[in-house]
Amino acid sequence: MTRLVKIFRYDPKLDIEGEYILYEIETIPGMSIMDVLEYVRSYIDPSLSYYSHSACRHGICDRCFVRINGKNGLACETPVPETKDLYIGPVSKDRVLKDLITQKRKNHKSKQMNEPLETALFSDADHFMIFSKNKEAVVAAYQDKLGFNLKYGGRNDSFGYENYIIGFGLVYLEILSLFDWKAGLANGMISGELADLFENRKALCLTYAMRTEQIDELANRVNQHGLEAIGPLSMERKRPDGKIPKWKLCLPGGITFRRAQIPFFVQWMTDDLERLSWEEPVSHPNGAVAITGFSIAVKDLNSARKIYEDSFGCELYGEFDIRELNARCARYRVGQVFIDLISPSGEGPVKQFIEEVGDGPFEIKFKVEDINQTAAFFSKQKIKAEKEVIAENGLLVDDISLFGIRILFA
Amino acid sequence: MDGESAVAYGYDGDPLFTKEVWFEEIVKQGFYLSDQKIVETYVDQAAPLVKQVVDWGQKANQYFHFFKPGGFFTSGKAMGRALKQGISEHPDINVIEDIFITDLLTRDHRCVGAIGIDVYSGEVIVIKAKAVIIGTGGFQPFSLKVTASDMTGDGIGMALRGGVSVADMEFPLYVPGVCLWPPIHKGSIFPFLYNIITSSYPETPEPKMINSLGRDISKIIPPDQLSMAKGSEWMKLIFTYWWGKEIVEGRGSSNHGIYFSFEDFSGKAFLEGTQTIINMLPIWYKDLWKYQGDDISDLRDLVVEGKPWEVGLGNEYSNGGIMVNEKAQTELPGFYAAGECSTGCFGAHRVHDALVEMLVQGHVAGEYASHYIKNIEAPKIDREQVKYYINRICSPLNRKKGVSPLQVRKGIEKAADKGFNLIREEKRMKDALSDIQEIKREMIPRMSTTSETRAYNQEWIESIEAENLLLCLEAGLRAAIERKESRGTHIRSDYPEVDHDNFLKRICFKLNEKKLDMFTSQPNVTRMDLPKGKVENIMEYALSCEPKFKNAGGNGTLKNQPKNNKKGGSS
Repeated sequence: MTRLVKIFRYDPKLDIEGEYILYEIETIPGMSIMDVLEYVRSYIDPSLSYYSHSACRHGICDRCFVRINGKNGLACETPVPETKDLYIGPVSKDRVLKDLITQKRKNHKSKQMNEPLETALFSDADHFMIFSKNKEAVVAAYQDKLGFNLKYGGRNDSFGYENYIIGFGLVYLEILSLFDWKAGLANGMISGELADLFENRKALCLTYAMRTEQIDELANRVNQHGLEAIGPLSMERKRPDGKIPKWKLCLPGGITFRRAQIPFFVQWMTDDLERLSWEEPVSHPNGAVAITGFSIAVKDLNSARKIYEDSFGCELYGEFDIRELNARCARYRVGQVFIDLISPSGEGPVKQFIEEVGDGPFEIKFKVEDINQTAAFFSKQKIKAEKEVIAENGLLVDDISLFGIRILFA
Repeated sequence: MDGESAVAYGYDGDPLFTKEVWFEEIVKQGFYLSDQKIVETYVDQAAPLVKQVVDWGQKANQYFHFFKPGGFFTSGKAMGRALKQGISEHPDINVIEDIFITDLLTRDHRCVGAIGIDVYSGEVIVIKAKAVIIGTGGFQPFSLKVTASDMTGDGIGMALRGGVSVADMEFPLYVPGVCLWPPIHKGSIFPFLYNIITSSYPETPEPKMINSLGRDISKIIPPDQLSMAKGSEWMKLIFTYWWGKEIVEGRGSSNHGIYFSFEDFSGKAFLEGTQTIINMLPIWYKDLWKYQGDDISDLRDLVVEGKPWEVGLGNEYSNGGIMVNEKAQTELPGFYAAGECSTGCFGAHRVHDALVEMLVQGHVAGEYASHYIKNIEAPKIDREQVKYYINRICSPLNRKKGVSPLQVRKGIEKAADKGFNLIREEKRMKDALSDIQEIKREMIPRMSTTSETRAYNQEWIESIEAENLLLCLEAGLRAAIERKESRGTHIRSDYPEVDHDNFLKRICFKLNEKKLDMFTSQPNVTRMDLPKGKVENIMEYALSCEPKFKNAGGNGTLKNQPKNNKKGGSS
């Protein structure tokens, strides 16, 4: 059977960045992804690189990890999926050496043999949770003012909230509007402490979720590091359209929406492409097309780094000062996003944030199609009335009390 | 290990399986081509080294199942984890990974280090060393093989270029029952293990071996040979002989194998009958119907749907390799070879364990190399030689256009399948030799990588491997043509006799001005005199060995074994 496959190609001598190239291949039943790659090498392009220099082909050496339709897996053990599309990419695009081969981690302990190449235990951002006191404030702030396309996600009467989704493909912002504060308090959805945080603000980003393909190992690792994870729990819900997404959830540090420095983890059991097919393509009037990074304010950078590096396996991208924030930043690159841990060096917005709210998500960055168009849009929306500065060639909207988080468009 | 040592360690070993018996079995099974000094070292040193690995394995929470007379049954992954445990207990060992050593560095007729490529960065690396020990594995020139993808005779190639002799290259070993279908399982040895283990569990449905005409091959095999094969590692040679005939004479399956048919069993009977052994799989693997990383439930489903398993003879091991003595020393001072890349222990046919060969030779190599380095000066590298080798290995990268190394590799495999595989015959061997001589002449000097990038350039690595594999196959084919008899896994349809009078000798090669020079040598004899005369064919010889012990996990009883044997054999 003839079918099309898109394979990520990158040659450091020829390309500035990699891209997916379409190949037409002949498949027979019972092929693995490695068989597909071998077909491409044998009949189309022998320069394709994937783990092969000492490969067992039977799931013993655990080295031939690639990303198949958004999920990491061993090429030799993964049957060719029956999905319409077939994408094969590297486990991490930012560590790509050539095609499907990624750089080994610098702190890869040479004494540990057979370690899979992908050691960061989460693979990308999944979603951010912004809490708001009321629905009108949410719609007014995010849709009417900031120009995001808000999608109503449903209502939970026992916990007293409705939710809205701002989607960017598989990554999204979830805005929870608590219409029944009492029910929320009674059911442990929110705590008294949390209630205090909303005294003087309309919204707050309380936590975020990272997606992982190794939730069991992640749970073990965080438990070993004393973060006492709850889960992995198998979850599913019925959407208003009747579709039932399934996922597994792991909550380090227990069930609380206020988890300060650390995220919680989601492993999707429903196929990415299937989930994507459920959604209409969304465009946001403000021109935002993707979430490219976020920062977490932390009091103690070293202890936060320890958690991200030792417990979560993140590789440090760099540590540097951010002068305009008067803060020190430790940056990680995970999947498509940068994670910045920022800690105040002295007086400044980060310090002020921590004093008011404590450790937690501080800023989120969106990529826009055209920054001038976004600027024009904001000007039309009179967002200039809000404090707007140019930072990193972007537009910053920093009214945390209104939006729950600083928002940067770049 | 030998049965007496096993008993001494507290295992339920068979004391009749003494070191002497073991020695005799190896020499006879090797058709008397073994270096008997190497065999003595093997049987003498095995027990404590095997015990050491089992202990490491238990510390790493891996299961090693003891079976009579003195063996252990485990998974490759468990073995890997045990060795990893051993390394972690020796913090002085500095491990560097993913370095592809391409050549030995020599000066004043001694080995002074090695040169290679960091596969990920593409950097060329020079390692200066007083002594070099290699454990680089064998060569598998065929399209169907069962071990890692880099079994391309790289150590044998570098030894030849370093002026060291190789021998016994005409004796590749095959596993009968390697998956050919579906493609995701191609090369898996699960059907072989399943078949061998059925002899221990009578309730397990035994597959019928069927050729493409639907004939039961077990009816063709004489009963005494069939009984010798069952539950024994002898199965490898006996089935290679009989299946090989079917395949070479055109009665094989579409993918050049045969079929394991379960037509005598209903789907229900198959599922019930396989319960015991399938329930054992989670001891080593994660799940029922999981073998290594493979989800083999599709093999189960095939049987339930009334379909057979298509299986073949996959190349597992090369008896031939670098010539060493019982100290794992080669003729180049400072250069040692251990395990499958070397030769001498198993002669023309291996029945006993290659893992033990690896352990014993690795150990003695380390021991003697550590003595050797005490009394020699620090090595000096010959810069001209380094330049020469860099030029050699980088030339496919620098060539703007030419032949794809992958096509060279495929050409080598095609030639090996044609003339070197299973049952041999003069004309096919000569045709194959002429094919590879053409590849050597026309393609090797023109090999070119599509990309000039050095970082993980698969074609670049392939170009170096292709040259080594070709050298090994050329030596193998020439020795096979020269050996006008049948012996061990060298089975000839035109010369079926085992001819002790004319061919009880080892065929060896040395590289001279880029050409392989052939010579012969007599096997080293210590205790067992070499036989004389002729035997009618390989199978008659096999029967004459009258092995007293079956060396396979299949003749133990895994039933009722504890899942975790942490306490096993710790007395």
